Amino acid sequence: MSLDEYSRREFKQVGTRPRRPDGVDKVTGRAMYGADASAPGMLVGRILRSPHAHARIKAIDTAAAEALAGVKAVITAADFGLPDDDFTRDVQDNCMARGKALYDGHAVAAVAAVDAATAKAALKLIRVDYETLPHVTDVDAAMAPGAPVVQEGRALENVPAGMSANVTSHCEFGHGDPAAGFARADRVIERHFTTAATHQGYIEPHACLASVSADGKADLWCCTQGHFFVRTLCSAILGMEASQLRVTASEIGGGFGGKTTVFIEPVALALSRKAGRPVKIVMSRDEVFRATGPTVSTSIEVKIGMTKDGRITAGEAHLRYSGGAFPCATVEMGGQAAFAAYDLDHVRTYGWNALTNRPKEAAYRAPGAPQAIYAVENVIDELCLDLGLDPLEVRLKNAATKGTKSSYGPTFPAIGLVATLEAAKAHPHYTAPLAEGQGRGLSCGFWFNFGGNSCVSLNVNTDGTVGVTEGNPDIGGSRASISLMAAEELGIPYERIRTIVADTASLGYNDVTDGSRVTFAVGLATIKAARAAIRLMCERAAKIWGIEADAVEWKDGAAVPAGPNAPADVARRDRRGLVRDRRPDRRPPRGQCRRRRRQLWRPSGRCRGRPRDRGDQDPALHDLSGCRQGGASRLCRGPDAGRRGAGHRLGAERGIYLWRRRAVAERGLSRLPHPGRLGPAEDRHGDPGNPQSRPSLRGARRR
Amino acid sequence: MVRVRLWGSLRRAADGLEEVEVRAGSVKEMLDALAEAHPGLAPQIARGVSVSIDGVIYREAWFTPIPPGAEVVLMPYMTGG
Repeated sequence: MSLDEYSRREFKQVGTRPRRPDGVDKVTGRAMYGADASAPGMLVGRILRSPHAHARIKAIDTAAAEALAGVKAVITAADFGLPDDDFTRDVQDNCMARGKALYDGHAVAAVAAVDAATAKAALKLIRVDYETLPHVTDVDAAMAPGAPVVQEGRALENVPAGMSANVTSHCEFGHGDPAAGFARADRVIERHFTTAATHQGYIEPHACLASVSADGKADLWCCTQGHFFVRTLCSAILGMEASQLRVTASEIGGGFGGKTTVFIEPVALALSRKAGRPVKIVMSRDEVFRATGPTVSTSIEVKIGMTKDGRITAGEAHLRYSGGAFPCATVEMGGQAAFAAYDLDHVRTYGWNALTNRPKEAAYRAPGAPQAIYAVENVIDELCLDLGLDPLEVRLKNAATKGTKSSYGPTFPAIGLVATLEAAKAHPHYTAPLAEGQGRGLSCGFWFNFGGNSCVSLNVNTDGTVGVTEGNPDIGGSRASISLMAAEELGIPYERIRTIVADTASLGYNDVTDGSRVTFAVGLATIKAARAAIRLMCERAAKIWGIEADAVEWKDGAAVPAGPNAPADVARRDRRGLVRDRRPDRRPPRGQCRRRRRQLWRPSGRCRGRPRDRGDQDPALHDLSGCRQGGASRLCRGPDAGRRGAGHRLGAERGIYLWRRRAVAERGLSRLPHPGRLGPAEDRHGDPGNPQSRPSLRGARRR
Repeated sequence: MVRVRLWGSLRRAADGLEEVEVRAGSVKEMLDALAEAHPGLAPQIARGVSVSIDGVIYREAWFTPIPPGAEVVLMPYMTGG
């Protein structure tokens, strides 16, 4: 996926700490989060949730709620269709229970009313006839024979026969012969670990505003990590074409993976469609914990063998994960990541996913990996203690490097674990004396990089500033990092760039903001867009100057003639379009050029004077800048100074003149651009904050 | 021809083979050829897979070319957070 081979490069922008573009709005309370959206005629949506961990829904009576004054719509699962594919159907069934409530807090009905009090009262009028069922919330208990079955018939073809009906998938990764590796070990330790279904605990509860119009077009504003994916899911669930649903992402108050799917958005859309008015749903904190996805709960056995000198001879892990009441494949990620930090000859991981009566799992920072790595790293630490080895040296001895066959299959390209460990080893904190009650720990981790689908639009504005449009909600400062990368490539100040997050109707598809992909993938797209813009501008500059495209290069935010193919006179042209004669005896006295030009030209563009050396055939300067009168051109300096149309006969200058004329015609510019700096960063022009810009700015105004 | 390495549990769906060889020039051609040559792999391919080509993981990159001699590893469909 890399844009090009890695090479050392001195960055001017990347690595600096600029002011974040979203910073002021967020610290002053101006930023618009999910719950801040509003629309005329907006209704309040509320959701009725199951009080049972597992119950069959025999009937739902909504008549009394619908009859309540102020209630505009009531929906249940009956108001949704039945998607064909399992994935979408599971998402929909998690948003609104169909047939069974699968966990405490599972949505069973929803209302839209004129205010919150009416909506709350309406929920109390909905009668749900439940048949409570036995439930199971522990993954090991769910895999045991005779466990309550959360959902029937959800096992994939890879599940061995005879397992509990709650087991939905099995996976296996690794290579070599672990048994042989354990036989060569001086010490083998096997331990069992469990981890809870921890919630991501983002500060901002889920919130959305949906508006479906009578012609079927819909708008949705929501806090999410991926509004394009929201569009995919919601349009599939609502039976809409994606083009008819525009999703706009709000600012986001944390997500950590938990906002990579939908919980209330399809419900709000269905309510709005039924009520014919906008509907807003804001979850309470209680609802967030009861009905949105935490990470998986796990039960893990890890076995590792090690020699006395710290070489790991084999590793094996059995991972049992539960993603709640719906199938999930998170255990595959744990199985691949568990031992991936190490270069092992014999390694194997076995994974199972089992259903439990818990909320549907959502991603949580490298989903599935930290749990498995936590177990592995604990066993390695215990081995180090037992064998009297330095835990850092042991990890260095076993670290994966370039060329290591990873535990999940591929051979690693360059990988930075050794460098990281060496840096930790060299850090003073690693050897600093510990006071009583202090400890020092060390752990290696691993995660992948994937998800490259990204679309970025980069526009050079008429004043030379730049707008970047991206399609990933900014969950950690990505607008700043994207702006920095654009600035770095274009060679212009960070402040000249504004990056925004566009809605789904304004940009091509983007993958979700997940897996740490955005800075990398969207950054690559931004760099490509910037380079494309540079290429186009250089090509245009070449045409303006009448030289070959390869004789133009981009330097410090501007196109400049360069290289062996650049004509000498073009190479000597300054940013004002002046062709300077560098011969010492022909060079104007130092400091006189600008003063002379100011004497010569007035804002009207009319020539008010002649240089004293007029007619002396000295080609020291041919100035076309700002020189226009009656649609023709005049030279203000040089042998043809002041003559109408003289610019047409000056070879290399002609191209500049024609371009500038065209620019005026096409862009409606009030003044001609400077051909010597044809980039977006006329950073010495018009930037009051840049001291270097002031003389040029004043000069331009005088013209 | 492309040699494709399968992850452990997928090998049972390919007659126990750790590596299979198919004729393909792109990711989509490879997946189509795998599903045709080894029908047992078809359900997993339909659900979604990722592909590592010389250590770089691709997801939904059907038209990514596979260079001759590249190391190709089939992986589960990757999701993040």
